[in-house]
Amino acid sequence: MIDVAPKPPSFMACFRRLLTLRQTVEASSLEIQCLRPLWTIAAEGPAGWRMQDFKDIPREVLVEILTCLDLPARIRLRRVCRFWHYMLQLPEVNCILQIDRRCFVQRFGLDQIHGWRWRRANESLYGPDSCEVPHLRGFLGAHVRDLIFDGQDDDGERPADVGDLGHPNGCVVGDLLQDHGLPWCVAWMIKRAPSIVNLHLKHIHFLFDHTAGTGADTLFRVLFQGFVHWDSSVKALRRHEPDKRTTFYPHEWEALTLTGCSFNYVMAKIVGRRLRRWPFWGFHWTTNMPKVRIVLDVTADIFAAMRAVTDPIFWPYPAGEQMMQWVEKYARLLHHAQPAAFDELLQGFSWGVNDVFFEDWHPRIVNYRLLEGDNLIRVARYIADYKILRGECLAYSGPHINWRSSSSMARTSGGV
Amino acid sequence: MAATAGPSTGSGDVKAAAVAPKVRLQSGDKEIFIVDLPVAKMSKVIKGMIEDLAGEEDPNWDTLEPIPLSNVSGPILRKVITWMEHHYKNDGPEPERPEDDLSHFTDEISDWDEEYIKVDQGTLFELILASNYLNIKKLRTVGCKTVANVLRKLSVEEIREKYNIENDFTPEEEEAIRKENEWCEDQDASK
Repeated sequence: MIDVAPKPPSFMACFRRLLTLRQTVEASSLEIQCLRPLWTIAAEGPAGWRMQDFKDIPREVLVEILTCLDLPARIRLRRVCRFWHYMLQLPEVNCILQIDRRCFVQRFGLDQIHGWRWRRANESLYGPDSCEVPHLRGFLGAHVRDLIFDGQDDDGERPADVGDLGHPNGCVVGDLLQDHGLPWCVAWMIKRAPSIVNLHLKHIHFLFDHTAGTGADTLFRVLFQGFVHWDSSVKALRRHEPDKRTTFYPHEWEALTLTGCSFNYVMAKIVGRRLRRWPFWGFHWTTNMPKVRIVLDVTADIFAAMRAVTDPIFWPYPAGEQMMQWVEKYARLLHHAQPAAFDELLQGFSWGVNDVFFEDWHPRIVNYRLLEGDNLIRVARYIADYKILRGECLAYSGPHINWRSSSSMARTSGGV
Repeated sequence: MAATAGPSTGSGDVKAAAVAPKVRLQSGDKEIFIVDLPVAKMSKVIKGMIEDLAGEEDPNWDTLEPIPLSNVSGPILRKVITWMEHHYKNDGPEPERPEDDLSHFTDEISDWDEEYIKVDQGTLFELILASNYLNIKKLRTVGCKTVANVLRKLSVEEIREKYNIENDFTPEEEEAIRKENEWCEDQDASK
């Protein structure tokens, strides 16, 4: 058998074949490009290129990405390129602004705090309303609808001035009023973005000490009513009418959203006729709240609704749609200021026993029949939390036992 | 075109899986995924297509043509379906919110989402675009927040380099913006 080597193709045959092959490849590529969606081409692309550039992102997605940036980052990233400079100052990007305490600095005058102002504002001490802030041009204005105040540090660490309270990440509400100046910061923003109607508070730690200090209700009173009468440092949201002596609160909110907030509830106790406060006396517990949104369409119920939501004595609240129904139900029950309600609670405990010397007051035995409504619910939750916290139950006080005999029993038996 | 079994339904949802009708989704590269109807409806685009296909009568889902999702590739669609199945099982259907409700911007990214979104940059962008195309608002927000978190940690120069963005400012313009931005640079330094 003779092997016959195949005849090598001629040059022209090779050329013709090459030409045909190329045409086929081009035709099939064209067909693929016609049939396959543009997305697939962009994703796989020539030479293994994949979609990684912002220039390939639709405008509405880029808007959403930029909207997720906080205000300092938006200001900083204007320097990337002209297009970003333009996009970052669009009203649709800046309809929601996220700020934190680092955006503001304290303003001092005559050895006392005069409030807070935006960092690097070219502001004279006595002319806060005429300050010039070049880097905020385009960001603030009537297009801003939502304001987020984030109490958490960038690195997720808790602020140093929270101290040794053992709180999770976040700011104590007292610090927010005094050291972080939340009402001042909000007021500063409102002056330059008067259409802000939705306030979001993130990573705020609310401290409920009913016997001292500032509570969440104080913060809300400042934000939603403009002032508290006893504290001159938080009058930021009030406005004086030049012709009249009266002050009024011009701003109206539509919704308050609390996200990632926690509530530290402090219960003091009386030792030797004196009220002893936590952390050395009494006890406390913390409740974490992932998220709650309060629609503030009924002005009369604002404080009541917020109290119901933010007062951990009523927790846990139901989830989902039932939550707001729950809030509405209990909000109407709560019409007194919180410290006053707690005073009533204390009076309820000590009713008729003012002359009794308490060696170690502790509500181990509670006559719930001396309480009603709001306070009764508080005590019920307190009892439930006490059980969780201490692993022991409070004693049930029968209907025939009044407070005097209950307290005597507690003293003699050393508690139950 | 090879028919591919979609990601299986979790064991905790066996009863629902037994009764729930299934739909077939076809990716841009002709891969077919079989998905529970309620899960697929988490995408508003798919929901609209299903409603169009179903009409007024209850259709036989097995004989219906696969729903074409030509703008999403197979691997990305598989990942999107995984996300939808997890969130349907854990969160239920997404409640209807008013368009102007921006409260979701304050939501934290859950641990599961954080782990889910740990992908390379190209896949992340593709997921965002797919969720945008399929109109899955929550997934799009998770993706956008992840990109925003990356941007926050990068300097301007790093962003230009990473995303291949040309600096088209004149030196004078850039200097003027830099001067305005001084306070931000201070903040970065103080972190």
